[in-house]
Amino acid sequence: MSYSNGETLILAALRSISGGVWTVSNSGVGKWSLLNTGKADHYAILKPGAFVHSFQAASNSLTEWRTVIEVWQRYKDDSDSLLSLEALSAAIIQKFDQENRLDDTTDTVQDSVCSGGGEVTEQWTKGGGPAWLKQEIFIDWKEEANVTFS
Amino acid sequence: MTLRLDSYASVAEVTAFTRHLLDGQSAFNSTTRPTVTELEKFIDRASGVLNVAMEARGLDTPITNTTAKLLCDDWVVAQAAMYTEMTQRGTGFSDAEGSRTSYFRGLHERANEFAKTNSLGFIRLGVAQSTKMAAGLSFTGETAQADRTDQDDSSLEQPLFGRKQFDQPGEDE
Repeated sequence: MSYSNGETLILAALRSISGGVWTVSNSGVGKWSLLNTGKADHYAILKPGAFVHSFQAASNSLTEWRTVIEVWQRYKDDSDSLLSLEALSAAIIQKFDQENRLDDTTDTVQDSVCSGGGEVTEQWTKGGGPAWLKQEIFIDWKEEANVTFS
Repeated sequence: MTLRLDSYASVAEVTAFTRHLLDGQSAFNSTTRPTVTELEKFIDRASGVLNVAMEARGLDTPITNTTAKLLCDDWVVAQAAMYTEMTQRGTGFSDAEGSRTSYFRGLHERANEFAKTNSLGFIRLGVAQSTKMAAGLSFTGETAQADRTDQDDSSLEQPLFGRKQFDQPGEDE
Protein backbone atom coordinates (compact mmCIF):
# COMPACT_ATOMS: atom_id res chain seq x y z
CA MET A 1 0.00 0.00 0.00
CA SER A 2 1.11 3.52 -0.69
CA TYR A 3 -0.58 6.86 -1.00
CA SER A 4 -1.33 6.30 -4.67
CA ASN A 5 -2.93 2.93 -3.92
CA GLY A 6 -5.24 4.53 -1.40
CA GLU A 7 -5.99 7.33 -3.77
CA THR A 8 -6.99 4.78 -6.39
CA LEU A 9 -9.39 3.22 -3.88
CA ILE A 10 -10.92 6.63 -3.20
CA LEU A 11 -11.34 7.28 -6.91
CA ALA A 12 -13.02 3.89 -7.29
CA ALA A 13 -15.37 4.66 -4.41
CA LEU A 14 -16.18 8.02 -5.93
CA ARG A 15 -17.03 6.47 -9.27
CA SER A 16 -19.27 3.92 -7.56
CA ILE A 17 -21.64 6.63 -6.38
CA SER A 18 -25.00 5.68 -7.83
CA GLY A 19 -26.37 7.38 -10.90
CA GLY A 20 -23.18 7.36 -12.93
CA VAL A 21 -22.40 10.86 -11.70
CA TRP A 22 -18.65 10.22 -11.79
CA THR A 23 -16.96 8.40 -14.65
CA VAL A 24 -13.57 8.28 -16.32
CA SER A 25 -14.76 11.22 -18.39
CA ASN A 26 -15.17 13.61 -15.50
CA SER A 27 -13.03 12.32 -12.62
CA GLY A 28 -9.39 11.51 -12.22
CA VAL A 29 -6.21 11.97 -10.25
CA GLY A 30 -4.53 15.25 -11.09
CA LYS A 31 -6.21 15.46 -14.48
CA TRP A 32 -7.21 19.09 -14.56
CA SER A 33 -7.31 18.90 -18.34
CA LEU A 34 -10.64 17.14 -17.92
CA LEU A 35 -12.16 20.53 -17.22
CA ASN A 36 -11.47 21.54 -20.79
CA THR A 37 -13.04 18.50 -22.43
CA GLY A 38 -16.66 19.55 -22.16
CA LYS A 39 -17.65 15.96 -21.39
CA ALA A 40 -19.67 17.02 -18.37
CA ASP A 41 -20.68 20.13 -16.49
CA HIS A 42 -19.10 18.82 -13.28
CA TYR A 43 -15.71 17.26 -12.54
CA ALA A 44 -13.81 15.72 -9.65
CA ILE A 45 -10.05 16.04 -9.46
CA LEU A 46 -8.16 14.17 -6.75
CA LYS A 47 -4.88 15.42 -5.32
CA PRO A 48 -2.78 14.68 -2.23
CA GLY A 49 -3.27 16.82 0.83
CA ALA A 50 -1.07 17.26 3.87
CA PHE A 51 -0.15 14.14 5.81
CA VAL A 52 1.32 13.08 9.14
CA HIS A 53 3.76 10.21 9.47
CA SER A 54 4.82 8.61 12.77
CA PHE A 55 5.81 5.41 14.49
CA GLN A 56 3.24 3.89 16.74
CA ALA A 57 5.48 0.99 17.72
CA ALA A 58 9.13 0.08 17.29
CA SER A 59 8.67 -1.34 13.82
CA ASN A 60 5.25 -0.16 12.93
CA SER A 61 4.51 3.14 11.20
CA LEU A 62 1.27 4.98 10.85
CA THR A 63 0.61 7.51 8.13
CA GLU A 64 -2.42 9.73 8.24
CA TRP A 65 -3.04 10.62 4.63
CA ARG A 66 -5.35 13.23 3.24
CA THR A 67 -6.79 13.04 -0.25
CA VAL A 68 -8.45 16.19 -1.49
CA ILE A 69 -11.35 15.84 -3.90
CA GLU A 70 -11.81 19.03 -5.86
CA VAL A 71 -15.43 19.16 -7.01
CA TRP A 72 -15.89 21.51 -9.95
CA GLN A 73 -19.24 22.67 -11.24
CA ARG A 74 -19.53 24.82 -14.35
CA TYR A 75 -21.15 28.13 -13.51
CA LYS A 76 -24.13 28.47 -15.79
CA ASP A 77 -26.93 29.98 -13.77
CA ASP A 78 -27.25 31.87 -10.54
CA SER A 79 -28.32 29.60 -7.71
CA ASP A 80 -28.93 26.51 -9.85
CA SER A 81 -25.23 25.88 -10.41
CA LEU A 82 -24.49 26.25 -6.72
CA LEU A 83 -27.31 23.89 -5.80
CA SER A 84 -25.88 21.34 -8.22
CA LEU A 85 -22.52 21.56 -6.51
CA GLU A 86 -24.09 21.18 -3.11
CA ALA A 87 -25.84 18.01 -4.26
CA LEU A 88 -22.60 16.59 -5.64
CA SER A 89 -20.75 17.28 -2.41
CA ALA A 90 -23.53 15.82 -0.27
CA ALA A 91 -23.47 12.58 -2.25
CA ILE A 92 -19.71 12.31 -1.85
CA ILE A 93 -19.91 12.83 1.90
CA GLN A 94 -22.63 10.21 2.16
CA LYS A 95 -20.62 7.73 0.10
CA PHE A 96 -17.47 8.04 2.17
CA ASP A 97 -19.42 7.72 5.39
CA GLN A 98 -20.19 4.25 4.11
CA GLU A 99 -16.61 3.51 3.02
CA ASN A 100 -14.66 3.60 6.25
CA ARG A 101 -12.09 1.09 4.95
CA LEU A 102 -12.20 2.15 1.28
CA ASP A 103 -12.84 -1.48 0.32
CA ASP A 104 -9.18 -2.18 0.97
CA THR A 105 -8.51 -5.91 0.65
CA THR A 106 -5.00 -5.69 2.11
CA ASP A 107 -6.14 -4.56 5.54
CA THR A 108 -3.70 -1.67 5.63
CA VAL A 109 -6.26 1.12 5.54
CA GLN A 110 -7.22 1.41 9.17
CA ASP A 111 -9.75 4.12 8.98
CA SER A 112 -11.18 6.49 6.43
CA VAL A 113 -13.48 9.40 6.90
CA CYS A 114 -14.68 12.44 5.11
CA SER A 115 -13.28 14.85 7.62
CA GLY A 116 -14.46 18.11 6.17
CA GLY A 117 -14.08 20.46 3.30
CA GLY A 118 -13.53 23.99 2.21
CA GLU A 119 -15.93 26.73 1.36
CA VAL A 120 -17.25 26.99 -2.16
CA THR A 121 -15.13 29.33 -4.24
CA GLU A 122 -15.88 31.03 -7.53
CA GLN A 123 -13.27 30.65 -10.24
CA TRP A 124 -13.40 33.83 -12.26
CA THR A 125 -12.22 34.71 -15.69
CA LYS A 126 -10.80 38.17 -16.13
CA GLY A 127 -13.68 40.57 -16.53
CA GLY A 128 -15.97 37.71 -17.34
CA GLY A 129 -17.53 36.66 -14.09
CA PRO A 130 -17.45 33.24 -12.48
CA ALA A 131 -16.76 30.35 -14.82
CA TRP A 132 -16.62 27.58 -12.23
CA LEU A 133 -17.64 26.82 -8.68
CA LYS A 134 -15.21 24.67 -6.74
CA GLN A 135 -15.30 22.96 -3.39
CA GLU A 136 -12.63 20.81 -1.79
CA ILE A 137 -13.68 17.75 0.17
CA PHE A 138 -11.14 16.07 2.44
CA ILE A 139 -10.90 12.31 2.77
CA ASP A 140 -8.58 11.39 5.65
CA TRP A 141 -7.39 7.82 5.89
CA LYS A 142 -4.80 5.97 7.91
CA GLU A 143 -2.27 3.50 6.67
CA GLU A 144 -0.40 1.17 8.96
CA ALA A 145 2.81 -0.48 7.79
CA ASN A 146 5.46 -2.75 9.20
CA VAL A 147 8.95 -1.37 8.88
CA THR A 148 12.01 -3.51 8.24
CA PHE A 149 15.07 -1.67 9.43
CA SER A 150 18.12 -1.77 7.22
CA MET B 1 -29.93 26.07 -40.18
CA THR B 2 -26.67 26.05 -42.03
CA LEU B 3 -24.00 28.63 -42.57
CA ARG B 4 -24.33 31.18 -45.33
CA LEU B 5 -22.41 30.41 -48.48
CA ASP B 6 -20.33 33.57 -48.05
CA SER B 7 -19.34 32.69 -44.48
CA TYR B 8 -15.96 31.48 -43.35
CA ALA B 9 -14.91 28.86 -40.78
CA SER B 10 -17.24 26.20 -39.43
CA VAL B 11 -19.02 25.17 -36.26
CA ALA B 12 -16.46 22.38 -35.76
CA GLU B 13 -13.55 24.82 -35.85
CA VAL B 14 -15.16 27.06 -33.23
CA THR B 15 -16.00 24.03 -31.11
CA ALA B 16 -12.32 23.13 -30.98
CA PHE B 17 -11.72 26.28 -28.92
CA THR B 18 -14.91 26.15 -26.84
CA ARG B 19 -15.25 22.45 -26.09
CA HIS B 20 -15.32 23.16 -22.35
CA LEU B 21 -18.79 24.66 -22.80
CA LEU B 22 -20.38 21.48 -24.18
CA ASP B 23 -21.39 20.27 -20.71
CA GLY B 24 -21.46 16.63 -21.68
CA GLN B 25 -22.87 17.03 -25.19
CA SER B 26 -20.80 15.74 -28.08
CA ALA B 27 -21.33 18.94 -30.06
CA PHE B 28 -23.19 22.21 -29.87
CA ASN B 29 -26.87 21.46 -30.29
CA SER B 30 -30.25 22.75 -29.19
CA THR B 31 -29.51 22.10 -25.50
CA THR B 32 -26.12 23.80 -25.23
CA ARG B 33 -25.37 27.38 -24.43
CA PRO B 34 -25.06 28.80 -27.00
CA THR B 35 -27.24 26.61 -29.21
CA VAL B 36 -25.83 25.51 -32.54
CA THR B 37 -28.24 27.91 -34.28
CA GLU B 38 -26.89 30.79 -32.25
CA LEU B 39 -23.31 29.72 -32.96
CA GLU B 40 -23.96 29.58 -36.69
CA LYS B 41 -25.37 33.08 -36.47
CA PHE B 42 -22.21 34.25 -34.72
CA ILE B 43 -20.15 32.83 -37.59
CA ASP B 44 -22.39 34.42 -40.20
CA ARG B 45 -22.29 37.80 -38.51
CA ALA B 46 -18.51 37.82 -38.07
CA SER B 47 -18.12 36.73 -41.69
CA GLY B 48 -20.45 39.52 -42.81
CA VAL B 49 -18.45 42.13 -40.94
CA LEU B 50 -15.25 40.81 -42.49
CA ASN B 51 -16.67 40.70 -46.01
CA VAL B 52 -17.85 44.30 -45.79
CA ALA B 53 -14.44 45.39 -44.50
CA MET B 54 -12.73 43.65 -47.43
CA GLU B 55 -15.19 45.06 -49.95
CA ALA B 56 -14.24 48.48 -48.61
CA ARG B 57 -10.69 47.65 -49.70
CA GLY B 58 -11.99 46.74 -53.14
CA LEU B 59 -11.57 42.99 -52.71
CA ASP B 60 -14.13 40.62 -54.15
CA THR B 61 -15.91 38.54 -51.52
CA PRO B 62 -16.32 35.88 -50.38
CA ILE B 63 -12.64 35.10 -50.52
CA THR B 64 -12.11 31.79 -52.29
CA ASN B 65 -8.34 31.71 -52.70
CA THR B 66 -7.43 28.78 -50.48
CA THR B 67 -4.52 30.49 -48.75
CA ALA B 68 -6.30 33.78 -48.19
CA LYS B 69 -9.38 31.93 -47.01
CA LEU B 70 -7.34 30.31 -44.26
CA LEU B 71 -6.74 33.75 -42.78
CA CYS B 72 -10.41 34.62 -43.03
CA ASP B 73 -11.35 31.29 -41.44
CA ASP B 74 -8.94 31.95 -38.62
CA TRP B 75 -10.26 35.44 -37.97
CA VAL B 76 -13.89 34.36 -37.99
CA VAL B 77 -13.17 31.38 -35.71
CA ALA B 78 -11.59 33.73 -33.19
CA GLN B 79 -14.52 36.14 -33.28
CA ALA B 80 -17.14 33.39 -33.09
CA ALA B 81 -15.31 31.72 -30.20
CA MET B 82 -15.31 35.07 -28.44
CA TYR B 83 -19.05 35.46 -29.01
CA THR B 84 -19.53 31.94 -27.68
CA GLU B 85 -17.63 32.78 -24.50
CA MET B 86 -19.72 35.91 -24.12
CA THR B 87 -22.88 33.80 -23.84
CA GLN B 88 -21.72 32.53 -20.48
CA ARG B 89 -22.91 33.91 -17.19
CA GLY B 90 -20.72 36.74 -16.13
CA THR B 91 -20.26 40.18 -14.73
CA GLY B 92 -17.74 42.87 -15.37
CA PHE B 93 -19.67 44.90 -17.92
CA SER B 94 -17.45 47.92 -18.06
CA ASP B 95 -15.63 49.81 -20.78
CA ALA B 96 -12.25 48.76 -19.46
CA GLU B 97 -9.93 47.00 -21.85
CA GLY B 98 -10.35 43.24 -21.54
CA SER B 99 -13.90 43.51 -20.22
CA ARG B 100 -16.80 41.73 -21.87
CA THR B 101 -18.21 44.82 -23.56
CA SER B 102 -14.89 45.78 -25.07
CA TYR B 103 -14.93 42.56 -27.08
CA PHE B 104 -18.20 43.54 -28.74
CA ARG B 105 -17.21 47.14 -29.24
CA GLY B 106 -14.09 46.38 -31.21
CA LEU B 107 -15.46 43.91 -33.75
CA HIS B 108 -15.80 46.27 -36.72
CA GLU B 109 -12.51 47.95 -35.92
CA ARG B 110 -10.75 44.58 -35.85
CA ALA B 111 -12.31 43.64 -39.20
CA ASN B 112 -11.12 46.87 -40.78
CA GLU B 113 -7.66 46.33 -39.34
CA PHE B 114 -7.61 42.79 -40.69
CA ALA B 115 -8.62 43.95 -44.17
CA LYS B 116 -6.12 46.79 -44.15
CA THR B 117 -3.27 44.57 -43.02
CA ASN B 118 -3.92 41.72 -45.41
CA SER B 119 -5.38 43.25 -48.56
CA LEU B 120 -2.04 43.64 -50.33
CA GLY B 121 -1.11 40.06 -49.52
CA PHE B 122 -4.48 38.88 -50.74
CA ILE B 123 -4.10 40.70 -54.05
CA ARG B 124 -0.65 39.26 -54.57
CA LEU B 125 -2.07 35.82 -53.87
CA GLY B 126 -4.53 36.38 -56.69
CA VAL B 127 -7.64 37.56 -54.91
CA ALA B 128 -9.62 39.67 -57.36
CA GLN B 129 -9.92 43.38 -56.70
CA SER B 130 -12.76 44.76 -58.79
CA THR B 131 -12.61 48.24 -57.33
CA LYS B 132 -9.18 49.81 -57.41
CA MET B 133 -7.70 52.96 -56.05
CA ALA B 134 -8.05 54.80 -59.33
CA ALA B 135 -11.70 53.88 -59.70
CA GLY B 136 -12.81 57.29 -58.54
CA LEU B 137 -10.71 59.12 -61.09
CA SER B 138 -11.97 59.99 -64.52
CA PHE B 139 -9.89 61.03 -67.48
CA THR B 140 -11.06 63.18 -70.31
CA GLY B 141 -9.57 64.49 -73.48
CA GLU B 142 -7.82 61.34 -74.57
CA THR B 143 -8.14 57.56 -74.37
CA ALA B 144 -6.54 55.88 -71.38
CA GLN B 145 -3.14 54.48 -72.19
CA ALA B 146 -4.23 50.96 -71.31
CA ASP B 147 -7.04 51.18 -73.88
CA ARG B 148 -4.97 52.46 -76.73
CA THR B 149 -4.25 50.07 -79.55
CA ASP B 150 -0.79 51.48 -80.09
CA GLN B 151 0.45 51.16 -76.53
CA ASP B 152 2.93 48.45 -77.52
CA ASP B 153 4.08 50.20 -80.66
CA SER B 154 7.78 50.71 -80.03
CA SER B 155 8.04 53.07 -82.94
CA LEU B 156 5.99 55.57 -80.99
CA GLU B 157 7.09 57.39 -77.89
CA GLN B 158 5.21 55.85 -74.99
CA PRO B 159 4.49 57.50 -71.63
CA LEU B 160 6.77 56.50 -68.82
CA PHE B 161 3.89 56.22 -66.33
CA GLY B 162 0.46 54.69 -66.64
CA ARG B 163 -2.75 54.66 -64.68
CA LYS B 164 -2.86 52.25 -61.69
CA GLN B 165 0.86 51.69 -61.97
CA PHE B 166 1.33 52.66 -58.35
CA ASP B 167 -1.70 50.98 -56.81
CA GLN B 168 -0.58 49.57 -53.50
CA PRO B 169 -3.81 48.47 -51.88
CA GLY B 170 -2.12 47.58 -48.63
CA GLU B 171 -1.22 51.18 -47.99
CA ASP B 172 -3.43 54.04 -46.96
CA GLU B 173 -4.96 55.84 -49.89
